[in-house]
Amino acid sequence: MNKRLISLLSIGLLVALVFVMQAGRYPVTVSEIIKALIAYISHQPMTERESQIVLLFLSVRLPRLLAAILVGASLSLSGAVYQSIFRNPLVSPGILGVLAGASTGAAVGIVVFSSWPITQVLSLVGGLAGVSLSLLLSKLYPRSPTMALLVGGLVSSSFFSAFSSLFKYLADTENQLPELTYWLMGTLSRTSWPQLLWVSPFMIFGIIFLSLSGRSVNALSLGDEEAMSLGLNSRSERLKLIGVATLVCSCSVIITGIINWVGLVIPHIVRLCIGPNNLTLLPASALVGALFVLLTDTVVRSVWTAELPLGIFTSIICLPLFAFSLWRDRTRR
Amino acid sequence: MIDVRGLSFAYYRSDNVLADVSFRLDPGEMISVLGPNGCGKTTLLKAILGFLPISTKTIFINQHPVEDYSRPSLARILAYVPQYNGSVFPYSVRDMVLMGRTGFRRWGGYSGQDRRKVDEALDLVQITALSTRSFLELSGGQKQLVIIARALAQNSSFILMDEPTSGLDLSNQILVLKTMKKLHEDKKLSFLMTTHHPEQAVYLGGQVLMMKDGSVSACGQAKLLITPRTVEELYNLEPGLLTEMGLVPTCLSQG
Repeated sequence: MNKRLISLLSIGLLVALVFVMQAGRYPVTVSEIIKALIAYISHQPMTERESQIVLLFLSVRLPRLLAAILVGASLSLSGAVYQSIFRNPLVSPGILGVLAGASTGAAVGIVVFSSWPITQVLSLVGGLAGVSLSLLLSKLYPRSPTMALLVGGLVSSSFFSAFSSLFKYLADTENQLPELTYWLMGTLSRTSWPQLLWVSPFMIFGIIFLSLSGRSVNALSLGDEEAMSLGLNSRSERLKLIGVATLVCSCSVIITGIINWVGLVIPHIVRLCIGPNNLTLLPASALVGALFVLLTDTVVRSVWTAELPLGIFTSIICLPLFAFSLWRDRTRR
Repeated sequence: MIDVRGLSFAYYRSDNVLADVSFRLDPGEMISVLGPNGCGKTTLLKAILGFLPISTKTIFINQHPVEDYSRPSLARILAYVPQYNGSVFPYSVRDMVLMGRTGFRRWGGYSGQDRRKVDEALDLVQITALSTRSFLELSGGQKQLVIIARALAQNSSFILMDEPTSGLDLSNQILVLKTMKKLHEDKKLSFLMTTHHPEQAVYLGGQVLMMKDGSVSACGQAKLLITPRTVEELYNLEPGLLTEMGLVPTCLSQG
């Protein structure tokens, strides 16, 4: 692991966090936030602005910033893991049908059960179903596994999107439909503490587990037989990694709905810059993904008065980035 | 020691690929497996490496059935050099060789000892100069040397190679063979390799295992056993055809 690079990126993320704390439609400075928080903790009398700042920061801005970091890290890191273990630099949680599957599951949980544990389980089941369907379809056409996996993912995504659409069609047009539609577009604007507290332990565990799995991921990226001959129990190891990657993605879907392309483009660009060794690539992808979503969400929530859904905005930014990275990749070889 | 006693194997719903194969590879020995396409050479290597579900205990590694080994402990005895390396990502040569240390620890980065082993391996195969190059940019022969170095970093005493010179030009073939011979002689490493070139088996010395239709048709000292006649028989050629076509390397005609 390139420890210097990882520490630099971590410091970068912290600095960015402090910087974007101040941004928003209600601008405050870091010192104001700190002063207000100290007053709040020590139960000193507060001015009206100070109590407003405390309310804004603790109940709106802080959960949203933490969610942005967790979602960005999860999507980008699991994208990097999928790309390496499927030996295909063009896959991502979105392309493999994980996000569509997880959102279908979560939609059932939200609309039918309205309970976090059930939503969590259903969204994980949906995510696993999404990626399994892609893999199954790719096995039907073994002559060109790379292409077959992409097409399998395409089919799996549309299959589950169809289910989500069915849900929209059945949803009550007054409340549930706008709710569901807006959520599926991908947004961090409705992050709440109860939701975040429920999913964040899974996400933090998953992010740490995957970031430290570089050794196995490296070997798996050479194919099953080579990985086995290098001393890895490749089948169980691969299942474990796919399971955890899908878990963190399904948690991110619960928080934000579908944020496409982050899981494809960020690992792609990071690999281009620092090389394919997963020992460094995995933690670096997590940090860069977190940074990317944190900054994008800050733009989304502070530049326009009417808030744009984050998912739409990341897609718009990621397309040119992806085109650029493909072009760079080609010219380098 | 690799001890195969009466190994038979069939893929799902098909005829036997291997039928009653027996042989023994002692430490420090070299065996070349020779035979026509589809005779089961690669299947034999995969069976020994534990990739295939063998129904009866017929393969013994240091006296223990191969099924009883965990993957990491088997990897410390057997290393594998596949015919084609499956990398799609441009790993550096050094990273590729470091992967030989996969089975030694599960978590986190590579240790100082891992790095020392890799330096030694790169040095032994004389590719230290390539260590920062991208694996995908190397020539076929250089790639094979990197995978051999990875096998050395794995610290295993037996190296199983599947047609290590296939697809290589003459100078790269010689490079790979010389490296193997040197490691065999200096480091007393054991090789089990499949090949389509009888003269390579003669050059490397050691034993030759001739396979036909999944069974061992002959086994013995490569220098004694490999003659134009036995090769013609093995590949179902008309007697005398090799000599007639002038295809007999000098090393064979002396035998």
